[in-house]
Order: sequence, then structure tokens, then C-alpha cells
Amino acid sequence: MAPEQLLYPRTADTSSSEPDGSDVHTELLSVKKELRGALERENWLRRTIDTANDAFVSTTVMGEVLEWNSKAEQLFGWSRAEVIGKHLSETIFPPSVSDNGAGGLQHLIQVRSEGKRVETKARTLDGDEISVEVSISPMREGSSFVLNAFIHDITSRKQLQAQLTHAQKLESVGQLSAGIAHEINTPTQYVGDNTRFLEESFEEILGVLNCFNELLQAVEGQGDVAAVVAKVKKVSEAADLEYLKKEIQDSIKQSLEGVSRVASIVRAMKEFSHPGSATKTPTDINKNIKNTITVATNEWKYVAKMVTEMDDEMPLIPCLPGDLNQVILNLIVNSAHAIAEALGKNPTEKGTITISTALRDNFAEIRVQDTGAGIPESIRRRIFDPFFTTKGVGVGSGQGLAIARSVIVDKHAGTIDVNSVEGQGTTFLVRLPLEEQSALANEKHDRKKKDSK
Amino acid sequence: MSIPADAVMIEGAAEKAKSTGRVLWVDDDPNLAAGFARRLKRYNIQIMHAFDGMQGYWMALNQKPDVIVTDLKMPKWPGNDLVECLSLNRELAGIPTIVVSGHAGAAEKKRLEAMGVVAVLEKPVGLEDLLVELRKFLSL
Repeated sequence: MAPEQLLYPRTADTSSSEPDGSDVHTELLSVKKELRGALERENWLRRTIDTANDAFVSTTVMGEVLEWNSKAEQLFGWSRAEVIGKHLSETIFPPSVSDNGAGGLQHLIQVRSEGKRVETKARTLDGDEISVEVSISPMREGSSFVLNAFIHDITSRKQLQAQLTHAQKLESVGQLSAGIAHEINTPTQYVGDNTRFLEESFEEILGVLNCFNELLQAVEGQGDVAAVVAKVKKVSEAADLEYLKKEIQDSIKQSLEGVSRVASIVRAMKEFSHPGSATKTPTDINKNIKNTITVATNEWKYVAKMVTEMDDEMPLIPCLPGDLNQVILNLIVNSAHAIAEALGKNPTEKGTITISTALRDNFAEIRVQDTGAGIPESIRRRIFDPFFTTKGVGVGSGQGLAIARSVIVDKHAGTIDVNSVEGQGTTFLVRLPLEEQSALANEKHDRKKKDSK
Repeated sequence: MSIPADAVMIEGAAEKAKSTGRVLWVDDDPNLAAGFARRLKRYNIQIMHAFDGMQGYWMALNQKPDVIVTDLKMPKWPGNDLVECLSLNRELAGIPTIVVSGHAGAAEKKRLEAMGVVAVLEKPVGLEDLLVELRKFLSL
């Protein structure tokens, strides 16, 4: 029999019905057949994995790469041959990139128990950082485990999210700008008026000074003293020096107030709209909140008193300052709208917005409380849904709280909760972890355990 | 009806010249009214200041000013409500009302003028522009 026939038997039936086949031959054929089946299965699985839309990576518990599909080659740049046997921390998850700490999948699998889907950053061969979603499942292998992970590139999703946040920021800055123009216009008006007044007053005072100068010359023997004294009296009276003295002082004081008001609005606006860094920076959240209150003054001052109760002991909190500002702004604007709704068309008094910060259990807490209309029980579950709004067309796009949730929960691993009593008011409680990720602490703990073994 | 306690009369400490006009200025920023008061005093105009629309309404009733100047965006009653209430009160309807605001768009301006507002001026307003309007109603 030709070797080809052995390797590629036409069918199992024809090979077993060979009239001249011995038992050994049949057995050999059956082994070959099994081998061929296994090879085909292997090939089939290989092709399945290689044609997957996501990168597939299989590692030992220690993070040594066992398997690496074509998509992984494409996404990360390392070929299968280069990467097999290497540790993940030498390739896609170096300690400097992964914000979940150094490590392999073992670490990621321990970070969060729910769903085993983790968003993190990975590095490519070129050194670029990309955002990925990793879905991991452990597979028993003898006395140990193998970790299999599908890694999905979510860079474009992240970019879209960032654009959406940015769009909402632009929208609110657009809304704010009319209010800010008004806030700046008013001091501009009276600083201008006061300066004109000072100019005119200075002319009058110069007139009086000139008279006094004449008086001096008269006393020194160059004129009619009595006549000049009468003139001094007349001019001084006309200038109304007492009035000028008081009003000049007041107008200088008020103009300085106005200028510093403009400066503080401009400064707050600049800090508010600062795009901020893409990574978390230690931030004085009390200062950010005060800036945001200033920027939004025109949104709340007609309907509410603003009360702040800041914890002076608040340490710097690792956060994305621009995004946090946006959340605070959204909450303030919501509070002002809720109060306006409660006050009705002809308010006889203002409501109150109370913003407080506090440290509690490794979290920085920010409370935004209003005496507004409250949120009806029936819609309370939906308020964080994107595009959900009860406000009229043009008042809000329904993005405010959805973005607040996304910023606080997804980007900061914090929490945002609402407590509302219809007719009495609403409190939003934002909690931000004091440490960048509680997972960091876990990691240290793990290392300690490992070292002590 | 008494003037609310926080109403302020802005007058020169030594007001001697005879006033040629009493203007009620309604704006929630006291510094703004004070600035106008200083400048208008040179034209012998006396300014009374109210901080919001509601206070402005009561002061209009009690003081019967010659002219009312009001902002639009204010706490309690905004300028719109003040203008509406003034126009509905037979005793006050005749007092010329000028709006000085940073918030008046074209449509708003039309609506205000339809309600009897004599002029709508954009903040910040130059004194000359304001005087042009005031001269129509005061002998300066």
C-alpha cells in the first residue's frame, strides 16, 4: 500500500474492509485515524481561536503565557513565538501601565469577583497604552489552574465615552457662559461708573487744591488774603468735600470688590474648564467645589442660598479634577432647578443648597443637598439612565446624572447615591476612595503573603 | 405698607441741590446702584435702591418715583413680573420704566416694549445712553 493511502485513507469503512489487512495494520490505521482526528480537532480549535475577534491569551497561574492567538499578535504586536513562555508583566501588563497594579491575570481575577470582566490598560510592543476589557475564566489543569482570557480592545469605546463627557461639558459651559457674562457685566458696569466718578471728583479736588495754592501765595504776600479765603470757602463748599471723602472711599472699595469678583470668576472658570490630566491627580476637592460654585453662581443665586461645610482636614484625593467639577456642576444645577420647581413662579423666599465634604472610612464624601421639590419615588431608579430627563426641551439633555454616575463609579471606583423626600428635598452623596484603587491594598497584601511563604 | 427693612436710600451725605428727578433703581447688586447713584448725582438725580422685584414694587407704591429702572434677572420677582405688576396697577402704570439688563434678547425686548417699557438697554450701559432716555422724562 502506498504511504499516501495510509496517511489519507479514503474512509474508515474502506480501510477496515481491506481484504489483505492484518490486525496490526488495522490497529495502526485506527491509531492514525484517531491521531488525524485529534490533529484535525486541534487544528479546528486553533483556527477557532485564531479567527476570534478578541485577543485570546492563556497563562499559567503565575502569568506565564501558554497560548496567544492571531488577534493577540495583531492587537499587541508580539508574535506567538516571541511571547510563549514569557510573563505577562514582561509584555502587555507591565507594572507601570496596568492601573490595577503589576501582574498577570491571576491578579486581575482577584480584583473583582463579579462577572470576571475587568477594564484595565495594556501595553503594546510599540509602547502604546490601550484600554482593554479582560474576561477571564480559570480552567483546572491537573493540580493547578490555567487562566484563559479574552481581551477586548475598548479604546474606541473609551474615546466615545470621553467625547460624550466632553460634549456634555461643552453644553453646560455653553449654558453657563450667559450667566458668567452677566456676573462679569455687573462689576464691569459699576467699576466703570466708579472710575468716571473718581475722574470727575479728582477734577473737583484739583480745583480746590489750586485755590489753596492761591491762598498760600497770598499769605506769602502776593495777594489779597481775605478775597482768596472767601474763594477757597466757596469752591470747597461747591465741591462738597465731605460727600467726596465718603463716596471716593466707598467707590474705591466697591471697585476693588468688583475687580476681585471678576478675577475670581475668571480664575474659577479657567480652573473649571481646564481639560485636566487623563490620569488621576491628587486634588484639593474643597477648592474644586468652591470654584464650581463660583462658576455656576448665576445658576443658583436667584433661587437659593449656598451653604458650604467643608472638612478642612480633607487630604488630597486622587481624581480626575475636570470630570469631578463636571459632576459637582451637574448636581448644583439639578439642585437649583429642583428648588425653582418647588418655589413656583412667584417665589417669596429662596431655598438652600448645602454642599459639604467629610472623611469617612477611607472615602471622601461630598454631599449636595437641596430644599427642592424632591424626586418622585416612581422615577428614582431611572435618574442615572442616559437621556432620562423630566426637564423641558432645551433645559437638559438627560446626560447630567448619567455622566455623574459614569465619572464617579466607572472612573473613580466610587459610589453615588440619592436620598430624596418628595416636597422636602434631595441629597446626593458622592463617595470617592482615598486611595486610587482599593485593589492596590489587595495587591500589597498578596505580595506580603507570597513573601512570607 | 412699609418699606422692607433692607431697602436702602442712596443719597449724598450733603444733598443740597434740589433734586430734578427721583429714580427707583431695582437691581440685586447694591454696588451697581451705588455706582449709578454717584454719577447721576452730578445731574441732580436721586436714586432709591431696591434689591429685587417685589421690594421694587412696594417702593414704587410708597415712593412714587419719577422713573423706574430695573434689571431682569433677580431673586424673588424677576424684572418681567415687576413690569407686569406695575402695568396692572392704575396708580403706577404711568411711571416710565426702563430695563437695564444683560439678559434681554431681541424677542424679550419686543415683549417688554409691548408691555409699556420705554427702553431696553444692554448692560454695561454708557451713562450718555441712559441720560438720553432719562431726559425724556426728567428736566435735567
